Amino acid sequence: MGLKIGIPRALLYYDYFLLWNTFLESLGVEIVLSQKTNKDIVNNGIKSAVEETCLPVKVFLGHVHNLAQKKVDYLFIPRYISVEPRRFLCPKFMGLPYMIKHLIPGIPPVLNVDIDMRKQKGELPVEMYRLGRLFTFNPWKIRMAYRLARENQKSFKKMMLQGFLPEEVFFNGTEKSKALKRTVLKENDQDRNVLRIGLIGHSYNLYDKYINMNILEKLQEMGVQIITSKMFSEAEVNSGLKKLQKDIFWTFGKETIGSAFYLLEERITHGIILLVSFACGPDSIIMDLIDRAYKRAGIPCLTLVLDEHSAEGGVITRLEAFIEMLKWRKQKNEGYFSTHGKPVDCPESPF
Amino acid sequence: MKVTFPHMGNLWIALKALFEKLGHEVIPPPPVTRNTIELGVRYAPEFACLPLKVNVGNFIEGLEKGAETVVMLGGSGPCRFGYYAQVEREILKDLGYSFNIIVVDPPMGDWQRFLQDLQPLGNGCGWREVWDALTLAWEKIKALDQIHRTLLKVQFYNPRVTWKCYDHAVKAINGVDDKKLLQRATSEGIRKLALFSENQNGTFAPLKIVIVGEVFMMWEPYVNLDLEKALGGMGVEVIRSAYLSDWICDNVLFNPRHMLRRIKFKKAAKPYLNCFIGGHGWESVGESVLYARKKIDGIIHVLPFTCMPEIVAQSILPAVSRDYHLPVLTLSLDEHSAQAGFLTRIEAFVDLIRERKQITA
Ligand code: SF4
Ligand code: SF4
Repeated sequence: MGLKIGIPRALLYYDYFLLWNTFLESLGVEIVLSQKTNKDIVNNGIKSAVEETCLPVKVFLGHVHNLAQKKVDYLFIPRYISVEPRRFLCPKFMGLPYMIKHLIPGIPPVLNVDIDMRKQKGELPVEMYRLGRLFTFNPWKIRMAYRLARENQKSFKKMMLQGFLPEEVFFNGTEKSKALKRTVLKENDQDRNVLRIGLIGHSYNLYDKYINMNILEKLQEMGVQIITSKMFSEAEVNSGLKKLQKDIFWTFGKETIGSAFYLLEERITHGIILLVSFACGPDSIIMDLIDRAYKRAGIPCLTLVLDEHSAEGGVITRLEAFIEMLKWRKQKNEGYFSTHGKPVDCPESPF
Repeated sequence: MKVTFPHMGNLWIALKALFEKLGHEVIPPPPVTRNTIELGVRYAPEFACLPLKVNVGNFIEGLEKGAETVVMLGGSGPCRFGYYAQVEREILKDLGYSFNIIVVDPPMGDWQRFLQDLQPLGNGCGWREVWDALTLAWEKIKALDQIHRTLLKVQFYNPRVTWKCYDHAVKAINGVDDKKLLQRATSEGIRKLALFSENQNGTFAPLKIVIVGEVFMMWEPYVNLDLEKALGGMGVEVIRSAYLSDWICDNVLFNPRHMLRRIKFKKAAKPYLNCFIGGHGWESVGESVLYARKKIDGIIHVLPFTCMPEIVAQSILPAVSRDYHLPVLTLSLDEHSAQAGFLTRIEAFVDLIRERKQITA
């Protein structure tokens, strides 16, 4: 029987689960996931964490608690330093395994894996090889597992661009997955009645229904078309980044500000919503820059701050008011999309 | 150019000397006050860390006083500080100021860009003058730190008078613009402060508390609510775990002695935190362990509310505290922190360690 390794269903799970799952399963490891985020998980996380930690990290701690009860041999909590050249994740990701060990006593041992792609050389990352060696002595097998994982991850990324939801892709495969259908957004002139909104945030805020109070479905119920910041290609993000004077050194920051600026430039959406975790360091700066740019351009921008105290009712009210305002604005400026690419004179947003 | 810059403790004295030597008119922002912080809170992002808010307040006050150029340090991540200047520029722009900002970003291999960025500050001075200006500023930083170190060794004997002496010495250092005179002013200040300990007959053994944490909070007395002075008033000897000159030796000059110290703290931190996490978080953990092995009575960890690296440190420090049987107090401070509640917390902490010491003695 293979080893059982637990992966918390939180933070970068929404970005890299498929990669790790393929890699580890090909090496004969059994993967155990924590439950979907629920009230108990969040409460346990809050109890273990330092008070002013951001909600996603608290939720992560809750998931670790949850896994600890599941009798796994190891916990898989890599230390993500950087996933691309010149950029970091966030200081908290860098210290995460250490925080876990000291905040939650008595958990299964944590596998030490450092992900630092700033100085990546050669095909197979050294750390993945090291990880693979724990389960097999056959280097060829590790290489093959890695190739397969990389392929899967590549197609996963493509599907994300098309608007598929990560968990759907992980468990339902390509055919049956639900998607937000990005394609429609591009043909904007055909479908004038639909309101389009950019939803900007980190993957774990966008796709964890519990954290974001199911905002995706709520917006869809209101008849809004959504494009999330995970649905932009590298090229689009980079073209958005051109507006910055200094290159951004956070990967999530790059995604959010790049996609938000791209939307601003291309005028694809009628407004955007920023999903921010309370006490998120990078977002406190990035989202402010986005908000400023939108204010200057006169395009509505709503910031929703997520924390453990956010009440669902309040969020819905704010969402509804925002959507109403956008609809009203849209009617007033029907000519809006024909001035594609040029700033439109609009009154300052009340939000 | 009329230059202004952000405040951090006594840093302004060195910066003023530097820019004046380069032939600029220097308009230091007024000292940090309630008003500075209120300005920062009003215009900076709500969830930004406190140093950014104070910076914004400083800049507004500096520009109002007539400055035209803002000089700010940059960085390369992973912490927020590296992007501070970018937001600050946008904030000031939105407020309608016409100004110029010079961001000193680390060269990161691109020396040409680095020198180009700094060129306006050079003001056409030759290398020799630039060198003189830089060394004078550096000497001032070192001198100020020396004076401060001496002050902390004696302030608990007589807080009122020692601080007066200290302020006097700082003023003297600010007044000189020549290395020889600077040396004289420094040794004079140190001599006067050292007198306080000589007059004691050595019977009084104060409690020793080390301050670790985020550097801005350690070094800017207004935002840490005069923590050091408050502790001195309670008869405690305060040890600051890092000074600005240490930071420069560590991160800019790569001074060999400091590199050795860094190896030591990394080794000490290893069981708790074995990697760089941005900001000063690693140092906070490592230095805590190093000091915990010495004869000290407690540690105070200061951080601005929501500071990322220090939250990691804060999550880990209880383990250090447990392993070394050493009380640790974490003070997370923001613009709402009020003197009253703050003092009670510190008093309670000092009482606790005093009792502990009596029991174990
Ligand atoms: S990026 Fe923000 S939300 Fe994510 S872990 Fe860091 S501080 Fe928390
Ligand atoms: S170290 Fe802390 S205070 Fe400094 S920039 Fe980073 S988060 Fe802000």
